[in-house]
Amino acid sequence: MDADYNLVVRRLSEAGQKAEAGFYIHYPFCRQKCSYCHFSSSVYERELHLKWLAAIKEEIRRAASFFSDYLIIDTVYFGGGTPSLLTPDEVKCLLDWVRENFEVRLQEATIEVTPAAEAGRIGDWLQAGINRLSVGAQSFDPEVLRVLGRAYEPEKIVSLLEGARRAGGDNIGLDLMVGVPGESFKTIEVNLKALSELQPEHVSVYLLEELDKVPFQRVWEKSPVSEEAAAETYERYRLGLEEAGWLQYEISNFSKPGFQCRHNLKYWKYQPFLGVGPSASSHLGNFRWTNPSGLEDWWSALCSGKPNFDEFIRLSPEEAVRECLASGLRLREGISLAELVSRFPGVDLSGYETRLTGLKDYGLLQVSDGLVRIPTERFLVSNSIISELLF
Amino acid sequence: MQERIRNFSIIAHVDHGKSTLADRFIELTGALSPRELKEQVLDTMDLERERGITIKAQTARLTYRSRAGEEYILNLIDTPGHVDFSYEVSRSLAACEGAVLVIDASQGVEAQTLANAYLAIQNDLLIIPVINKIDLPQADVEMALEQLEHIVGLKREEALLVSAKKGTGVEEVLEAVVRRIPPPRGSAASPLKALLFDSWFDPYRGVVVLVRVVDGTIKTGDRIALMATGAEYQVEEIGYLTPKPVRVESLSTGEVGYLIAGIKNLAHARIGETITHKLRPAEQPLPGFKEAKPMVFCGLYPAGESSIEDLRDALEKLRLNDASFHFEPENSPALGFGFRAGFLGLLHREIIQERLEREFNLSLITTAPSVSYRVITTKGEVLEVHNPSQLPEPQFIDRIEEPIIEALILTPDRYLGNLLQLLDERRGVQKKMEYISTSRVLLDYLVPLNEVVFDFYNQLKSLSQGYASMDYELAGYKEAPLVKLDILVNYEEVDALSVIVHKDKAYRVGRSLVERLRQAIPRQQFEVVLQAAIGKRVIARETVKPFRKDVLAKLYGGDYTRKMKVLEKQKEGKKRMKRVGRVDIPQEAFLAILEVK
Repeated sequence: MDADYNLVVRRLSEAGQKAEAGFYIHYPFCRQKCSYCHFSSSVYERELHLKWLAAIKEEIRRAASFFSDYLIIDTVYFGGGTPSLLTPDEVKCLLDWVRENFEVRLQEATIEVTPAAEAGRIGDWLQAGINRLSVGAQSFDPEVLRVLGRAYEPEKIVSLLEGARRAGGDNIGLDLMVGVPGESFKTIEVNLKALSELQPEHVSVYLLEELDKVPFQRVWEKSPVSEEAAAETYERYRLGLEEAGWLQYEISNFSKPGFQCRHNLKYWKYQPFLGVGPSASSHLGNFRWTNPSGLEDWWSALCSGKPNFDEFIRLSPEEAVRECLASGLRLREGISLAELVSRFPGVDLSGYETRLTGLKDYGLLQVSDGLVRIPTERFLVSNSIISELLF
Repeated sequence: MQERIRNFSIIAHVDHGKSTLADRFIELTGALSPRELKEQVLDTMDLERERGITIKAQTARLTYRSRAGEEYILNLIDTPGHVDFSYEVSRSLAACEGAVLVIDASQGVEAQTLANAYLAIQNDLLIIPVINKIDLPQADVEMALEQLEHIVGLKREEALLVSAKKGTGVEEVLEAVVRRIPPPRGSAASPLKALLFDSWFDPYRGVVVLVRVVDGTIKTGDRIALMATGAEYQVEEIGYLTPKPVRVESLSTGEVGYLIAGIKNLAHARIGETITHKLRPAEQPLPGFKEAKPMVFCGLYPAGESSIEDLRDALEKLRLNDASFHFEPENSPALGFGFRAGFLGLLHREIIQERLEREFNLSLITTAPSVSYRVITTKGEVLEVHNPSQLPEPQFIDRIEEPIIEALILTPDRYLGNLLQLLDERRGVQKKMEYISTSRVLLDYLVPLNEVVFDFYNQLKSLSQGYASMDYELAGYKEAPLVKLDILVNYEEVDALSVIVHKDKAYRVGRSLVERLRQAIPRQQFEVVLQAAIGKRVIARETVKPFRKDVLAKLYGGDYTRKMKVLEKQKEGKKRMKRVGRVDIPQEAFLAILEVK
């Protein structure tokens, strides 16, 4: 592992100045595993939880020993899994540990929270340094929650959010899962109504995807949602949310002005981030790597110090340009061509220009003020547009 | 010497065992050691072996000591095994005095058996009938003999019973060859006349030709002339094949061998040519020379990563070895730069396409096959139109003539109903229909070639569960009320999808074709409107609905690789597609007409 980190360090040291980076902490346990989830997680056990705590601190320390000279951490994100299983003390301890090991100028510290979490903890998390909550509500329709196998009632989401507000939470994101079997026309109404009452600062609307290899596949096969229906649903949310004051800033993300998720923006703007925990990914310099997703593999790699990544990629400038474009075009504001040129000097972009003109002529891309973007009404077919531009 | 020469071919329906019998001859006469004798030595190219057919005629000189103790030189002249190459077969036969007609004892007489036997009879050859595969459990020798007598019209007493695979009866065939087939006629004192019956391009030696000396003698160093083209060369090397080449100083009357004479281009060594001496030329060339004319045409366009230069390069290389296909540059508004290629027949087209893709690693878009129409304009000009999009506007056309083939079809009578219906749908006109045995029928039909190029052969096979066999030859041109059916994709005509059809079928074909296209063209970012039109009149319409959802809902830190894979895969899927306007049209769409019922 060290050998690989050294390659990255050499690259970072060439930059001459510290980079502002996001910091991702992957907590890999859940009370129960959701049938549609493809993220790396396993069922919570006290003993494993403690072992993870010790190991994650070790990983943070080791990462810092390589990278701390070159990074300024400005966002922290606790994702999972169900990181709201972490106690406020544990969260505080980890945040302090990051501060101890890195230079930190925190602008945003997010924790993912399940609606099943105790509302009482929220105040303590905020005390511990968290300033943003991302609530995995999924739906306010009991039928959809049932199909998804979520073990809480819509009322629980409401009470959690109310509790969060009382505790001083002023930056709350709420996730919805749409395009789910069992969804009806009414589901959209119910969800939009709940949102307008609760007024979260941020809303994510995810179309259900990645069905192979998860147990949910069986449910889907029995009553699939047609492409047409899913597309209609997505469009209704998109228009409904915009109308109610949440502005779309990414394919699946909407926010009140000033409340875009800074940490996630790093992914879409192709900026540096460092991830720790099993399956966590990092992107520093022209390197991207991903930790082993299995707990055991992650542990043993950490203990032995032997390199063991699911993926460790040194990107050519050309590959980096492709990835940068592919992720940047997910944003409504699009991507700046001038910035692309200055970030990747020496890369020949002429091929893109020809293809870009073709796509522009058919309204599949827009170009203005030096920014290229996919028109929001084409977001749903963004893959085909990006693929055409890139290859 | 001339008295001890026997020139002969083996002729058969495909898969009746011709190559195996040739192997046995070579083995028995010791021309190659068993180690050298690979299976089916005469089929050299991989593709031929795979398809079980011989494309390139080759020849072998065998030395055979007869039972009476006399030594003979047997020139075995291999013939191509498919209907597309019937002209080559006829020239190969013209180099012989006799032919061994092989009939599979389990299959009996097939269409090609008949067609080849007729060719042999036309060439005045002595025919030795051989009933092969008598070792098979399903062999029915009696049936085969019966058919030989009643269908082919040869005497059953003359037939030899053979299992080429096991070697049974093979020597008897060689005995019959020396005893029954006459020695070559011809006069050693006359001016040189040699029949060029095969040629190929050797990367080291240039063009190699196979000849049969009919009169006179040819020697190394001779100045020769090709009588059809008038071109002159000096003979550099002469020899014969065993099938390995063996150099000699001369070939005399009746002999068969190869010669190399500095011919650079295969197109200058056309099959059927007569070779003579420059200084003492023959008065008349040998009869029967004609240029093998392409009958089937299609557009070839580079797709994916392949470029027009790659394609041109590959076509030029292929043509070095196959002078019978033609190509010329073509520019399609829809497909861009490509080539219009002409082939001897459908199989020939398939073989060339496969070789382009396999040997040259090209991605190709091929358009639907077309035939060569004769268009007589109102001004009285005669145009040869190989490409539907080149058809003049209707007001300038006086009439159109289309090529007609005469098809010989042999089928068990239980499929007769199916086949008569098929032939009727394909505008066939019956010349003859006769029971040639209690359960087998011979159909002799005139059918427009344009109906045959659209999947006729596969239909024939599937409607007869594979039992019907067919052979055909060009029978001339005939006027027909033909119209051009245009296909519009998003209101723009795509020339490469146009077809020429009979007026009475235009509506049905138009509807069926756009329906097929709708299935073949994948959904795109926009709605795709497909229309069939005759002139300005739209006769059918279908739409391909756009896809609605093609998006990754989430992209977080670890998803870049996955996302790039998805995007790259999409691009991969478009390799065999051609973009016309904003619409990606896959290869299948260009061939959709083949599936129109």
